[in-house]
Amino acid sequence: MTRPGSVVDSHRRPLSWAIVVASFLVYLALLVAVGMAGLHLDVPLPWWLTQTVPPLLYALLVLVVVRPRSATSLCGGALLLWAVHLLLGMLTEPILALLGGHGASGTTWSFPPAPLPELLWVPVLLVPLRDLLRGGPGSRSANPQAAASRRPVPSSRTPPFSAPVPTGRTPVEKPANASVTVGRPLFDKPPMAPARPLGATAVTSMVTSMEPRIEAPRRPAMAAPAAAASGLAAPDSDRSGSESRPAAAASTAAVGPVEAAPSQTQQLTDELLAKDTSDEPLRVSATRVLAQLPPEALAVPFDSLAAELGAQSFLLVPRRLALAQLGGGIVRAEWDLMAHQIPSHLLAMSHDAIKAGLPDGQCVLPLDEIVRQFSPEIFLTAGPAPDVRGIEVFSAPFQPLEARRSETEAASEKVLPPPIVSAPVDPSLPDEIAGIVPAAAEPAESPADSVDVPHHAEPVLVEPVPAVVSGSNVPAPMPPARVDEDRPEHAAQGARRPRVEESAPTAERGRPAAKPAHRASALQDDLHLLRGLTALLPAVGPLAIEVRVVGGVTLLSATSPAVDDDVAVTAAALLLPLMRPGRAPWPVDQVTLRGPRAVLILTPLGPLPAGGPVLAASVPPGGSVALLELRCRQVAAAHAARAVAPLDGGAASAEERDEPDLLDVEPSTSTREVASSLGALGTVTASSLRDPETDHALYLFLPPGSDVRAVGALAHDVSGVMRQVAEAGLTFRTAVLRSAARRVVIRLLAGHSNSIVAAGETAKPGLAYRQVEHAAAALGAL
Amino acid sequence: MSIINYAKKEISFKIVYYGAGVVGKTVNLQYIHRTLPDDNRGNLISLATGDERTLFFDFLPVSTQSVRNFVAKFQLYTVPGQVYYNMTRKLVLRGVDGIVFVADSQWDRLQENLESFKNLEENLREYDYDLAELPYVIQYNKRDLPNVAPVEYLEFLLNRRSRRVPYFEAVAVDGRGVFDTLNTVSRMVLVNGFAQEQGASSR
Repeated sequence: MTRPGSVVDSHRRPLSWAIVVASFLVYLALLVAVGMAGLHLDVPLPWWLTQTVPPLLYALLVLVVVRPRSATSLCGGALLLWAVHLLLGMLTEPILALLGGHGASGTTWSFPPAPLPELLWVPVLLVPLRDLLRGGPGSRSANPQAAASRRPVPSSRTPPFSAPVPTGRTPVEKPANASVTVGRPLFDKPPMAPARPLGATAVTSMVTSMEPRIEAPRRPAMAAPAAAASGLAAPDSDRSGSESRPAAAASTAAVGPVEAAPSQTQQLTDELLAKDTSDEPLRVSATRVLAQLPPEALAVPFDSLAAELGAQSFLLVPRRLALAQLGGGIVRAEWDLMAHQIPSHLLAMSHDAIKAGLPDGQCVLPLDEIVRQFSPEIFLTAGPAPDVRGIEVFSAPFQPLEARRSETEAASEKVLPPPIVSAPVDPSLPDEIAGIVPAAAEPAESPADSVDVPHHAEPVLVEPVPAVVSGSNVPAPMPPARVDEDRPEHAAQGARRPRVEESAPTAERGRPAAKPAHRASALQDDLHLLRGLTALLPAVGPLAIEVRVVGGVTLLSATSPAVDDDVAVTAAALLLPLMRPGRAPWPVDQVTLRGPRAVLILTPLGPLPAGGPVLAASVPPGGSVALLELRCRQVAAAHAARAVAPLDGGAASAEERDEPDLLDVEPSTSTREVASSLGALGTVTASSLRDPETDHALYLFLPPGSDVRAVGALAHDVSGVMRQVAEAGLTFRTAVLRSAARRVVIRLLAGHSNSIVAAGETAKPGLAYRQVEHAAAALGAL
Repeated sequence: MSIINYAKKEISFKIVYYGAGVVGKTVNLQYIHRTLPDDNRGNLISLATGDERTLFFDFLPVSTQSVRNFVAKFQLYTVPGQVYYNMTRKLVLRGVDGIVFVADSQWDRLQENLESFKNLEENLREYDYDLAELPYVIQYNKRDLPNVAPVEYLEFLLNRRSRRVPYFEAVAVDGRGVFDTLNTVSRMVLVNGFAQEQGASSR
């Protein structure tokens, strides 16, 4: 059971400082005693060693006892203790001299001081300073593990029934006035219960990993007087500690003193208690309370409960019990408090059985009825007015179109861009993860096309890189040649063919029309979300999500911390021009670059000429890459199902493609022999091309009738990208271009000069990949 | 934090719409995107599930002209409200300049609002941010619904710190209060940003 005092920070506890003072006195007494005994505390070690040990020891102590959240806190704590150590060491001899200790050799200060005695007392300072060193007030509650360890152990007994899950979006009828209407139920379903299933202990919402987890069903907090009422707005409160506190304890504590010095929010709650001095009990609807019981607990049908109750249709609740819990956003009361007010003939179970079935034996009281019985003034704090100093210097930065129109009295109609909403995803898709919804149509003549938008698109979640890949900028150290490749025709095409999401404006969940379905399936939705996220991030840990604009294409990058973010984005930037319609012989659905330290998966979600977007996932290599590829394609499919414009621009003619000049070379016998080992790609024939400028060779294994030069040109450029990225420190050896069932596997050979290009339609992409690897080993050894 | 480009005369800020699940954060951005003039807004990017719950975040760049001879650019983000996406929320908060805490006014969502507010404080603390110093406003959304708590009580729950902040009643789906919220937090961010810049330049 958590005591109220335990929510106060350690440095605010008088007891902590009392311990420090008492231990200091003991320390002095010990020194005097040692001196009188004629013992010498000098350590027979080199002076530099004796002066090195204390800071290291203090750092270790801070690390273990305080568990600071940052290196700054750790160093700060250790330095603070060391400083006290030095000061105390220098003062020890004069103090002992004053006390008349025999061990004092003199009254002069000594520096550096002897290390041993101070080590006995200085660590005691961690008792009051623990929370401060950890990172400020309330820091204990910020550590979920520590907080969890202090939480009361929940009862293992599962209540046979619990309060009903609220129909949160069901509109609740307002009482006609502040008083409770007697004689009929006010609500069809009581909305006072929490949104989560009841019956189990609460856990915090802190998740320390991207790995989703299913949260244990939470039970509404039983707010204790000051601590609980301080609620979540109290940074230094540990509300979870009071979640399972019995109502009786809360009731008792509601009027009792608080052990520790009250925090600001506690003071506010105390003010609340002081403002309302009435003893008049509150009235709550009996039907709403009884609605929390299962039908078998009632002797009459619920529909006839109101009639049976007659004039007893309300229950009385101690006013101060409710007041003390109002800060927590929920008010609960022991069943015992209600039981004797309910006619026994209405109950089919004993009070004990009913109580045993309620979470902690408590009912949730209808908060709306309770709050309305208080004057609104009591909730007004006497604090300062909202702090908006200085904003009058700036005029309102944003005005909606309607406002501007009225200002200018513009009579002409201007068509607003359609609303952008996430339309429902095709349920036939394996995962209903909607794709990234692009913006609304930009009028072709709109200046927004030119535009500020790319310049806005700084990285999202990590620190902005100095040079965002945008237009003519490419992050160093990669040369900007490929990225800067502007294709005016594509830009114009994108401007002419904007994508528009035609849909009605999104209704917020919680609106009456959508309530029952949403609430009923909330848990399923949550699980669905978990599945979706798991699918997108399969066992790769947390990813940094960023939005960038690369050559007019929105790049949504999800990068693992294990991968160099800048290099991965640079690689993506270099590859994007190769994925445009017209550059590849076929529309490219996905490109995967594989290397020993990283895998980059690029998946266009929208047509690149129209700005994409393109999803770029950079993760360490592992078994989940194939799954990540699949999920990325599902996201793309979901997006394409809703996009007006087609994802690809179709195949391009050879004239439209910007192909390098490659020379045909007669394939060697060994190259022809390798072709027979690539059975997973179907029948392929060997051919060779050579770049006369770089002397790089391409060994191509393509199905008969393929456009060797087109595929070779694309493979040549992709190989060049891999080489460029390798110079920046991120090695990719294989690129896999996917177009429906067709795969093009491009494998750099040893030395990165030559490449294997194998293509074909395959149902066994894994086997094809391995066969290309074997072929690379064979050809690379030549 | 804010990024000032003196060469381009641009100053960029990051504003995050924070709150529990399905309180209307994305709807705020959608309305802003829908009604801002083209030259003030960029593309709204939303990574959401089929039932319109935000999976990662929403992103909307908006800009305004000539604030002290600077072009002020604001990047508006939302966070996923579901409790188990805390890592994403924490990441989105990185480098934040201003916050709009969107609260659902319905009685049965009050506790979730409080939990979300506490979660916001905890996540900010991870970055050594403090709500006592960070510009933020509170928006009480869905005021058109019948089962909403009075504003006085909502203020008591969410806005009773030593430093009180502006609040706005809103019906985001209709646009009510949306721009009041955005303009106020933007102005607070501008004040804070320029004050910081002046402090830095004076040193």
